[in-house]
This record gives sequence, C-alpha cells and structure tokens, in this order.
Amino acid sequence: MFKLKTMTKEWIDRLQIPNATSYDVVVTDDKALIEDDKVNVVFPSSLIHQVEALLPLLYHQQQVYVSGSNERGTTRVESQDIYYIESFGDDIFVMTKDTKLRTSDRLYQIEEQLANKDFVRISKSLIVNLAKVRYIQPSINAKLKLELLNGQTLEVNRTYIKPFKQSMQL
Amino acid sequence: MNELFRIGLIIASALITLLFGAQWFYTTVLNKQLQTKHAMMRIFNPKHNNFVSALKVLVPATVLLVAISVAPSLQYSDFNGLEVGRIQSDTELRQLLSEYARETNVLMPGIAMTSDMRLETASVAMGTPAESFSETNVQVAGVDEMDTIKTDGLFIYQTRYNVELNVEEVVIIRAWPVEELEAVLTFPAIADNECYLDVTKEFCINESIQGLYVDDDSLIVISNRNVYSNYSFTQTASDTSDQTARSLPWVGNWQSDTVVRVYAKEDSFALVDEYVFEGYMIGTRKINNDLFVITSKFVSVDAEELLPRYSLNGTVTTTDYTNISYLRDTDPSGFTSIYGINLDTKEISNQHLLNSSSSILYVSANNIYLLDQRFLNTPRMAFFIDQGFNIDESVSRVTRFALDGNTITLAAAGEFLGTPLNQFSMDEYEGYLRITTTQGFGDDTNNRLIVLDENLTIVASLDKLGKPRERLQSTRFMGERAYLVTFEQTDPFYVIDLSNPLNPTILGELEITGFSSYLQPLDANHILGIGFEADDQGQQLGLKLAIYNVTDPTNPIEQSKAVLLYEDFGWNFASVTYNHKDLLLDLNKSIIGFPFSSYNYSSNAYTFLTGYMVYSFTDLQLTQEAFIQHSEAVDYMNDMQKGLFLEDYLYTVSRSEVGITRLSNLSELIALVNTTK
Repeated sequence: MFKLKTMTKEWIDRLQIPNATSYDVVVTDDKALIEDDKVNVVFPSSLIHQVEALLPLLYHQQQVYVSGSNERGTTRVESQDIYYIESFGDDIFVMTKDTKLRTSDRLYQIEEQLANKDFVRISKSLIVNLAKVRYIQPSINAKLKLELLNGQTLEVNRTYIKPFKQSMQL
Repeated sequence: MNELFRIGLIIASALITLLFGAQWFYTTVLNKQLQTKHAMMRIFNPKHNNFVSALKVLVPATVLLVAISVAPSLQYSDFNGLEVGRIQSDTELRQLLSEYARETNVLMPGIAMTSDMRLETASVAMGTPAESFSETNVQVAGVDEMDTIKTDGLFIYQTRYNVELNVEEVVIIRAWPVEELEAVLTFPAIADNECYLDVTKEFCINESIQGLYVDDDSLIVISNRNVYSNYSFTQTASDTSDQTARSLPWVGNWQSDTVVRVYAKEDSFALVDEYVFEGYMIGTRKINNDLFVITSKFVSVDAEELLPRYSLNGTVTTTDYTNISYLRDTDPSGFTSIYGINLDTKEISNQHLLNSSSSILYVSANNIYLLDQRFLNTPRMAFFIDQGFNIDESVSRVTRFALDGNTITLAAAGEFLGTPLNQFSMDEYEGYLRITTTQGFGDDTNNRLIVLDENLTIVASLDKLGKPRERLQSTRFMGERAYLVTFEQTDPFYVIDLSNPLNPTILGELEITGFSSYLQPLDANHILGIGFEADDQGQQLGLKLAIYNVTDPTNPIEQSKAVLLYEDFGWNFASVTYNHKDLLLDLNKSIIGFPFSSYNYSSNAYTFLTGYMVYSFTDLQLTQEAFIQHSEAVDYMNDMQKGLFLEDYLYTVSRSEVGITRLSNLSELIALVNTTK
C-alpha cells in the first residue's frame, strides 16, 4: 500500500510503514524519488504530523456505510466501526463496539461492499474486521481463535483458515 | 514390558513438547503478521499481553509433562490383596510359561530313583536319655527348624563334610551317659565321585545334606540330590577334543531334587521311608508330627511333563492342576512347591505356586508365609536418560498358606514395596501379619513396618524409620511389641508399640555405636542383641553382645555389653550373627554360647583359632565364662559348630570332635572324643 522512501531514521521509526511487495502510495522527502503512475506524498521533515494524519485517509480512501436498525431506530455505521457481521438464518447483525444493528442486506452483498476494507470471512456466518482483531491464538483442533478489541472471541473455521492467512499478507 | 512403557513415555513427552513448541511458534508468526498488517492499515492497537498467552500454552504443557512423569510412580503406591489365578490345562500352563521367554533346558529325569543312603549297618542299642537337653533356637515356639546338629538327650546327630571321602555324612554320637561318649554310626551321602570318568554313565548323582530333625521315634535327614549330565558320556557320543575335555565335568544340565529320609531309631536307624520332591530345597519346618518341605523347581516349556512330581518309596505321583496357582503379574520360571507330610499316615498334601523363585520363608503355628520379589521399572523424568544402573523398585509379594494338620490351602496373597531382611522380619500375631521392610537405596531409603490383615491387605504402616540412609539390620517381634535396629553409622534401637495393630507407634529409641544383626528376647523386658561394634563413623571394630533393658519402653537402655574387638582377637567371625540356630540359649542357667573363630594375619602366614564362646548373663551382666577349645583348634577344617546342654553338661561339637565340660567348671574339658574314627 505504502512505500516509504527515505534515509531519515526518525521517519522510519515514527511512521512504522512495513515493506510491502505491491504499493500505490510513495511517501518520500526527496523529489527525485517520486514514481510515475503512483500517488506521491512528498513532504519536508517539519510537516510529519500532517502526513501521519493523512496516511489513514489515503489507506481507506473512501468511507463505506452499512445501514441497519436497532430498538432505537434505523441508523448507519461506518465500516471502520464494525467489529464483525454475523448471520442467523435470514437475520444479519452488524456488531459494533456498543450496539448491534439488524440489516436487511444479505451477507454476500455486504461482503462485496466491504471487499477492499480488510473484512475477512471466517466461517459460513461470520465476517470479521481485521482491524479489530487484537490477537490470534491457534488451538489444538487446528482452528484459530481471534481475540477482538472488545474482548470477544471468534473462531476461524478450518476451511477459511487459508483465505484468512492470505488476507494478512501485504 | 516396563522397558517398552518407558520408551513409550519418552516418545509421548517428546511429542507433547514438540506439539506445544510448534503451536507457540505458529502463534508468534501469525500475530507478527497481524501487527504488520495493522501497521499498514495505520491502526495501532494497544499491545496484547504476551505473558498471559504464553502461560496459556506453557501451563497445560507443563502440567501434562509432570503428570506423565509422575503418574507411573504414583501408580505403585497403592496396595491391594493380590488376585490368585488358577490353571486349568496344560496349554494354559505352557502359555503362561512361554510369556516369560527363557532359554530352554533339557531336564534330567531326577525323580525316578530311590536308594538307601545308609550303607553302613550296625546294631545301635538305645538307653535312658538325659532328663533335660537343649533344643534348636527357633523363631516360633512349637515350629521346629531344621539344623545340622541336634540332640534327643541320648544321641547327638551331626551332619558334616568328610574330607577323606569327599562326601557329606551323618554321624550319630552316643552322648548320654557322659562316660559312654562315642560315635556309634556314620553313614555318608550318595556321591559318585568317580562318575565323571565313566563313559558308560549318562548321569552323575551327588547329594548334599541340608539338615536334620529328631523326634521321639525317628531321625529325619533332608538332602538335596543333584543330577548332572556326565560330561564323559556326552563327549564320547559326539566329538572329543582335549580342549573341551579339560573344562568342568559339571557343564551341562542339572536338576535338583529334595530327598527326605526317615530312619527308625528303635530299629538301629533303619530306613523307613524315602520321600523325593522335585526342586531344590528352600526351607523346611516341622510342627508336631507334620513336616513341611518347600522346594523350587525350574521348568522349561519344552519339557514333556511340566507338573511337579513327588514320590514316596519309589511310587511317583504327579500333582493335579487343582493344586496349582499363580499371582497376578507373575514372571514364572518354575514352581515353588509346598509339601505337607504327615509322618504317621504318610499322607502328602501339596500346593504349587507358579513364580520365579521364593526367598524368605516364615512359618507360624497356623500359616506358612512365602515371600518372592518382583522388580518394577519406575520411569520418572530424571531417569529418562539411561544412567547405566537399575532404578527398579523392588516389590515383595507374600503368599499365605493356611495349615490344618498337614493339609495346606492357599489362603491369600498380597504385595508391598521393599525387601524384608530375613525370616525374623515377619511375624503373625492375633490374625495380623507384621512385616519390616527396607525400600530403596541411599538417600531414598525408607524403612517401614507394615501391618497386614488376614487377606494380606495393608491396614497400617509406619514409614521412614531410622535416620536417612540407614537400613534395617534386625527385627524381633514379641507379641504387642517390635524391636528394630537400623544402621549406617550408629545403631538406633527402636521399641515399637503394636498393641493397636491399626496404629503402630514408636515408643522409644536408643542410639549407641555398632548394631545388632540378631535380637533375642531374654524375658519380657530384656533383649539380647548380637552384632557388630563400630566406631562413630560406622567402621566395624568387632563382635558385640549387648543386653537392652526395655522395662521403660519410652527409654530403652543398654544394660550391659561385651565386645570382642578385632584388634584383640584378630579378624573374628561368629556365625551366630546371621544364623540364629547357632546360638545356645539357656534361660534357666543364664548361659549363652556360640561358635567363635578368629584369623590372625602376620607377615606371610595366618593363624586360625576356633572354639566355643560361653557367656553368662546372671543379673543381666554379660560375663565371659569360657572359651572352650578342642585339640585341633587351629585346624580350619575342624571348625567349632555347635554347643548343646544335656542336663548340666555342655557338649561342644566341632567337625571331628565332641568335648564335654561341666557347667560348674566350663574351662576344663572332662572328655574329648574324636568322632571320625
């Protein structure tokens, strides 16, 4: 996603941008290093704070909303606030930090909407937001247990382990 | 089996370690990936507590590993009465035997022959016996033990080795009245010393006399008959080369039988009955007119006839399957057979235990207790690496055979950890069997006293007797009390209360130098200890006799002691330290006596001195009364063997001489007769 092109140690430590094989944004402090047909962020050292705030926007590019209703009425929620989405037969629930919304969309439709937003299917009825996973714990029965930021635990079924691991590749 | 179990455990724990290790590695890799991904997504979540998740993996792994290594050692700390198995058929018997893989031996047809051991005939007149005479010092009153020298008040019966003929023999010495002391009859055991040179003989037979019993009517001589294959015979049959011909003639297979011969006293000691039992002798006892003989016989799966056989005057009987039992987890290599003979009716009752071999025999008035050992491999973490020595735990199994006259029935069996020392380590009292046993070695030594009920299930135990590293050296049970001695450097003498068999308690202890290897009660409150004196480092200094006073059981004291130091007497030796039958004890006369020999080494030779040591304990003070020596006291082939009282005369018996002294003047021999001529 990002490619940092700099020799300044401070930036490397501060921005914590990992090396990726494919990228579309080049972050650099040297005009000579800009690449064609890529987004180039060129900035002097003094403006590093602004660049730091800019990078998440660049990553997520555009906001995607999923709408649903709870007991207080219908509302919409931004994809980055969703923890996971679960289906119970015909009912689809969108889980956020403090509420759950029922939606009328089908699970595969939501999955398509969120395709570029780092959501991964981990079982037939579950789609999880990778950003909300704090820790992965493999268990003896060859499944993976995911600990979410809110302390909840989800399980990755055996068939979905391979796509799950691929989703973490850069 | 145990070895396989150990290897299995090693593999299992290696797998578990590997599995948990792999899981830990996998977890680390996955979470590293997740963190990188989050960094790219510009999300910096609070860090996960790695310590907790590490614990989640490590704790179950550790628990599993500990469980797997500790479990086997815990498994054997429980004890139960043992199941007794019965054998129904020949096939079953062969299968049980073949599970314990053994090299097969071709066995000798030992049982078939009978022969009169007595070759010499002479008319022996009877007479009036002495009014009182000493009997063999036995463990249980009423249960007679076999000995090499016994008396009936009229004759002294002695078994000895005849140097000139290279054969063992029985000699009958007229001992009463005192003036008529002489050997009246000698008969040698069967020993064909020339057999090995005779190419026409297939087997050679050699008998060794084990001991004898005497009662009012008869003399009973018990011997082992060994049948060897004749080397000369087998060599002529196949190839003869000088190289192999020089090797021992005994090479080859052999079988041992136990022969019991009964001689009638009234009929000039003519042979009346000859019993032959397969297997070598383990022990014998005589209760009234019932003789009990315990033998052990090896069998090979290849043998045609597996069942133990016995014969009476040439009539061979093969035992029935109903008389054969085995214990759970046995490693059988043969039979231990218990025969009960009614000497009047000549009925023989028999029971057979399929096992490896039995070691200790204890017989009370109503029961026979047989001990055998089984070894356990106890795998533990520390021993996963082969240390080149045996880490086995020794388990003793005790089998109780109930006696009703000469009828024997297998009543119960049980097992416990450790190894008892000798027959005095066991005692039956009011239906409970009490055993002292030592378990383990070195720092792990555990001396225990256990109490078993009549089903041989442990009902109480007293553990960790003695200081660390000490081992039991002697035990004596006396009704509701037990006296024990443990030793490594000093001798703690323990008094244990057994009045409540379910709760044995230590009443008192006494710590002194040296240790007793045999304890002999003198009366209810005084114990004679015979053993070794030692310095405070545990170095043995000489022979020691001591009288312990247990009038106050919480505070036993050493009333008096006598020490025969090596530095005074040369290296000395008294068989009484391990053979209680060599002790002459007369409570009325307050006299103890025992054979005593010493060796004195000089620059290039040594001198030997053998004699009979007599101590008195009047007023419980040990005083040396005499050291009686025969004319050939410096000949080590003429060693002193026994002392006997006939009324107030002390008879001292060495291999070739009998001497008489008066009680009033023990240092002066009034008669000395050579019994070899």
